[in-house]
Amino acid sequence: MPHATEGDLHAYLDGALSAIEDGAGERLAAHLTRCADCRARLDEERAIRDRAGELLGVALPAVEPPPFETVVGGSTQPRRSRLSTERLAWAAAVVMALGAGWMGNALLRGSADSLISPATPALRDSVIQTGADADLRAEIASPVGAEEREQPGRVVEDVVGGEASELQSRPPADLPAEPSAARARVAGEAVSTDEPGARRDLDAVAGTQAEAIAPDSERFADKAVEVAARENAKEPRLTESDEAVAWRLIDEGEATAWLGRAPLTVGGLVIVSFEGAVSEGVRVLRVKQRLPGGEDLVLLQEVAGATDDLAAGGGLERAERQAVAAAPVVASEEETRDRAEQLGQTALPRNLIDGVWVTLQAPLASDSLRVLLSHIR
Amino acid sequence: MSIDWSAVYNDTYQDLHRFLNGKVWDPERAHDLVQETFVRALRHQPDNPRAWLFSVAANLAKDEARTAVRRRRHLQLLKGEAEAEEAVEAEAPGRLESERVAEDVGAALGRLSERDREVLLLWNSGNSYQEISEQTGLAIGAIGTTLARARKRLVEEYEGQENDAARN
Repeated sequence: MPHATEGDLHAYLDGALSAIEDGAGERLAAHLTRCADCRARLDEERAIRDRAGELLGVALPAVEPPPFETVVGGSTQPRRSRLSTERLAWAAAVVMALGAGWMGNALLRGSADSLISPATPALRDSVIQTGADADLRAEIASPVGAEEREQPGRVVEDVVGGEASELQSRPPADLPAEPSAARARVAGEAVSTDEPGARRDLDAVAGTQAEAIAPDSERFADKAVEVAARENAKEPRLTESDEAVAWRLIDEGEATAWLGRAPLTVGGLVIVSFEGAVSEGVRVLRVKQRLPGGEDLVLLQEVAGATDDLAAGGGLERAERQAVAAAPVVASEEETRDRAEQLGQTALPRNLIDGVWVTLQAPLASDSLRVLLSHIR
Repeated sequence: MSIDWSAVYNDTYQDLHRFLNGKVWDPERAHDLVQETFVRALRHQPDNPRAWLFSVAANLAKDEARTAVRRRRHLQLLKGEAEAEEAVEAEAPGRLESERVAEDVGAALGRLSERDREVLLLWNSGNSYQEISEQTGLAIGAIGTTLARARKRLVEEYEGQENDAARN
């Protein structure tokens, strides 16, 4: 019998050689009695095999199965109340300080429809029932999706219950300075945080803001931004590279070209800016729109298929490897929650609308974000 | 004759968990995915429950990887690269040795090719060469070679990290 290959030796150690070929195990055993070289190689391979098993044993320990009944209970009732790190990063929601606080309360209690008041000429009700909506509903309705939808709500309660009072006294650090004047004005007008009172004030403020918001003919909140974007368009266009993310202000035309289709926006809200960037070789678009309370809504978008069907030639492999490699060093749950709270923002990730993956972020409760989500076109 | 899923569950939970944990590198998330796998299983009567479960699990993990990649990218973009990198590099004090080893093994595992990693994880989850062959579509005669290469690479990458760490 010729000398054993590496593969044979490992199969032999795994007790699988005879499963591959009848009698192969016995033949190899016989050869080993006669061949010192192969015996030495067997020892080497055995050491490698053992070491690999040891490492995997530490990294992937055996766990006791929880009772089968917890599984039968259904996937919408997770066994744990503690969420995985990444999910908490998305789901941490805070009812924000000062100006947004009273509005946030009103929105949390489900009066979000008054956010888009028919009395306000600049805010049009623009829900469009398309196939995309059905896709969206299906996406949300799938078991995993339903789970995610429920959990953010629960975490809102957890976080708001525990930390709301502390946070309301501390304005979020990274909201732009400019709207703080608007927020202060809004806060001054809010008489109380009672539900009926808030709703009344919300309507009143919405009316006031309507005048402050540019008339229908102007989509951009800030003329200067629009001009800057057009200036940028004259320079070399965005290109793909693996460099660090650098957001580039662009105009709507280039945004459409960049994304490969018309950008998703929430109907009725003025646009603050379009920005493009490349991250991990994927084109992403960041659209900012102005909310009635003065804060910004961010819609982070990328076309579906950017990572979903990477060529078999290494793309998904690389992404998966990175995901595996990066996973162990994700920040601890506490750190992530603290950061999310400091940011004072809610993010609704992973919504597929009309072939575009969009993540919404705004200083609003997740329920309100979902209302906005339904107004995307 | 219908399947006794409770028995199948008790027989395969540990293996499925190790397999999925090897993919998503998060024991809690792995548990969720094992649950999800079984919830889907309860609707069916496959001829070979174990093989069927691993097949479903592999698909769930693949979806998970794509979502994790996209989620991580959006998270980074929303919070600013600097912040995200800070979090990635931050080392929690007082970590157990086993946690550090697990982390390094995960990193080493990430450097294997997708196929090698898949075969290694399947073997580590108690599957036979025959089962691995059916699961991956590889010829049964190629499994030994793949495992040999995967194990060697895993150890090399891991020891390489250890050496780097010791040197620094």
